[in-house]
Amino acid sequence: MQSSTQTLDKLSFLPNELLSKVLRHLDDLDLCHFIFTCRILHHCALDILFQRHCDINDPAGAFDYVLSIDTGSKPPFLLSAIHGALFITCLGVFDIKFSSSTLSRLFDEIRLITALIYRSPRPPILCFVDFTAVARLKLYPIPESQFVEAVQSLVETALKKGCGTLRITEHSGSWNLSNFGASQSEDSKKEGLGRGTSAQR
Amino acid sequence: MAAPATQQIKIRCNDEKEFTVDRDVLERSVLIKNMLEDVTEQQDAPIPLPNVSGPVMAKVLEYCTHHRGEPLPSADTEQSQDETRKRTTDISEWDQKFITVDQEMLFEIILAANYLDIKSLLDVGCKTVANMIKGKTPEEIRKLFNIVNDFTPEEEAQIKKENEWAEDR
Repeated sequence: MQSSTQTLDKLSFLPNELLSKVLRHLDDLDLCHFIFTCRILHHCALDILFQRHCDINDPAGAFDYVLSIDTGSKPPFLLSAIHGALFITCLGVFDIKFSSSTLSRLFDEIRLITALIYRSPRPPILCFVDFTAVARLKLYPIPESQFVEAVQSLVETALKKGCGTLRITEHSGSWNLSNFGASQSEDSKKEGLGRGTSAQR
Repeated sequence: MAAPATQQIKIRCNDEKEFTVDRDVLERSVLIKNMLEDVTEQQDAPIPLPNVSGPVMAKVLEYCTHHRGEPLPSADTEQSQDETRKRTTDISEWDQKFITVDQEMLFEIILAANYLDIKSLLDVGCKTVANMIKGKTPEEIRKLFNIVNDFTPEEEAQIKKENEWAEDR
């Protein structure tokens, strides 16, 4: 099937829409392999993974896009896909639901999401971070300092980026969110320890 | 203008190669179909196809001749098909035999099918490439298509890092 003489790389030279057509026939695992091949294929594969698994929508019509990420229900390499796609789409709203299955994964995910927000081409307008699902996984006790550090970094990054509103939700009372610093507002909502924080620009 | 199905149309490829083909065969190409509909007066000059070479066109015509008379997929069905069977890669026996060509020709056919707007042929081409890729490691994929790894070692490490923690899920 393959010619014996050296052929130029025809695949990555296909026009983008044709390349997508080819890659759309592949399942997630095969797409994942593409992430490692070369730049062009990297982005194309990520883009497709992203379209397949990330829910970009805007039910209220108020923002350009809402990026909803449920870390637990997605294939492992998806976060990479989101990362790649962030450079393609401009996201106004992050809606992140952490539902990691292990502790170390949770930290990895928090760090990665932090990096995503940091590298986002546009400041997020709203950022909802939801840890309630994690609580159900009975991960306690979590080494508090470690967790505080991770979330603090997430909070600071979001605010530094100019995030308009940041709200972190978690299982009530288990984590002391006052530890997470970064311009707390006095009148933050108490239900489920939800908290509103205003950005200070 | 309703033309008889036996009407012969001349086309000329980018290497000056000319073909005279039954109109209904050529009309598998939506591009040419639209062109023919736009032309009202009798034309003897061949239709120039600057993006397709003779050998590739011969192959494309072989496909169009085999599939002549089949209903053309409409834009709508294409859309919904995309949704429901986007990850299936089965190709009919005839098509499979037809598309067993070297890589160079395979990609030429894909490009020509895209340019000429022959959806079913484009689909066969894309599926064939996808089938070649399935189950291969990144290194095997690179080898298969002569893809040059253009990541810097740092980038590669970064990508690996971002993905490896996820692998034990």
